[in-house]
Amino acid sequence: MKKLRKKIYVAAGYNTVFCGPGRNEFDPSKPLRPFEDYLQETAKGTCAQLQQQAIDEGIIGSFMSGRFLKQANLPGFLPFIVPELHNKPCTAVEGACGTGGRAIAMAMRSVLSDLSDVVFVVGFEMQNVVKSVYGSDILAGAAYYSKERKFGDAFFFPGIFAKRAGAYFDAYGEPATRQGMAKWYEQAIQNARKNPKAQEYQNTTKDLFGLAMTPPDPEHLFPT
Amino acid sequence: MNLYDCSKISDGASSLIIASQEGLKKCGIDRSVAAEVIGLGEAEEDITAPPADPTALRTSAFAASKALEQAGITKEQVGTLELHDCFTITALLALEALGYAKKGEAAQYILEGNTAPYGILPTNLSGGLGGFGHPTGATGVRQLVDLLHQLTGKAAHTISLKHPFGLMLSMGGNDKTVTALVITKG
Repeated sequence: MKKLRKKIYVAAGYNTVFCGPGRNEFDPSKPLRPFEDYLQETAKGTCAQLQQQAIDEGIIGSFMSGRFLKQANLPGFLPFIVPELHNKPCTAVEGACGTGGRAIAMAMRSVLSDLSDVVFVVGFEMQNVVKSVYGSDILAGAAYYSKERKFGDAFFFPGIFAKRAGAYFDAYGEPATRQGMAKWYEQAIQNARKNPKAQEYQNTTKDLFGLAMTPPDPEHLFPT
Repeated sequence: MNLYDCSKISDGASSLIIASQEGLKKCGIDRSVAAEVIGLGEAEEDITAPPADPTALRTSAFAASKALEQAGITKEQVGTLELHDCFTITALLALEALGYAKKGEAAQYILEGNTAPYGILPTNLSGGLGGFGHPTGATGVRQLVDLLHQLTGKAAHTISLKHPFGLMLSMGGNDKTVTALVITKG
């Protein structure tokens, strides 16, 4: 494997609050924060870290904005959030939940090929615009929808990975694996509690491990 | 799986810049607040085919090994990980795919505290997809932002890393579209 042909850097990172169930400010009965606000906030956060706005190119990543928001042609939002990108190359990237990684890789290719010296990369998604069971159907597009969807569960991807978990339980034993999964959950929430922008930052559950050990109910993903 | 094994529905956005050395200068960014990307591994698997082994993430393993090889480091030199833990089981499978735990032993690896903030391999210090959230199109960018912040001391909760390298794994679908990146202090 060859080394990268020139030095590539990442800088000026910014995250908005990741909002949804678990955040105190999330109230699905009220209008959601518009997606344009999220895009503008993160672009402002990144651009504020640049002394000069010497941006050559923009890449925007989103998995299913076409269905969640009925919004396509996402490259057009790049000059909206980064005025420096007017009349410069802007591209949208999609690779399901791996969209962000591929957007970064695409930016690296552009820099490595000497087409650009500075590429602005943004990723976003708005999933709370629909109820979760409908959102699950939209997210099922990350699989081979026309062949897999009708055999899948209502909450499609939890079903896909539950099957992986089931195979793992069969191969290596369920009790220890379930404890490892519960410990992972506990660690994830404890780490999120130290990050004010995390969705689980305000999680106050005392016994995280015990909660995560709740026996799965094959009939109901959500506790009844 | 139960509800707590799943990352939640989420809204959010993340951004950053990717730049050459000249690009950093043009933007007036000091290298001390940047990180160098030294390894990129990408791998794709046929979306129409079911996984050959449901207890393994083979595409993730391939992408990560390419990124580490290009970076010229071993997995033991990684100071912190950002894994794509859309579900808790995915974290276990990813730890095995990357070779940190043998097949069937990832649960024990986690229970022993190895992935905790002060373990030998601090992992998902951000909270990961389960803790920070998973607005799908934002997640991969968010992972790199958090690795960058951890390596440059800008994270909300920065820890002292044993090695100055970070590895992230961004996964799309059922281990189909995978990108791995290795970064180090600028």
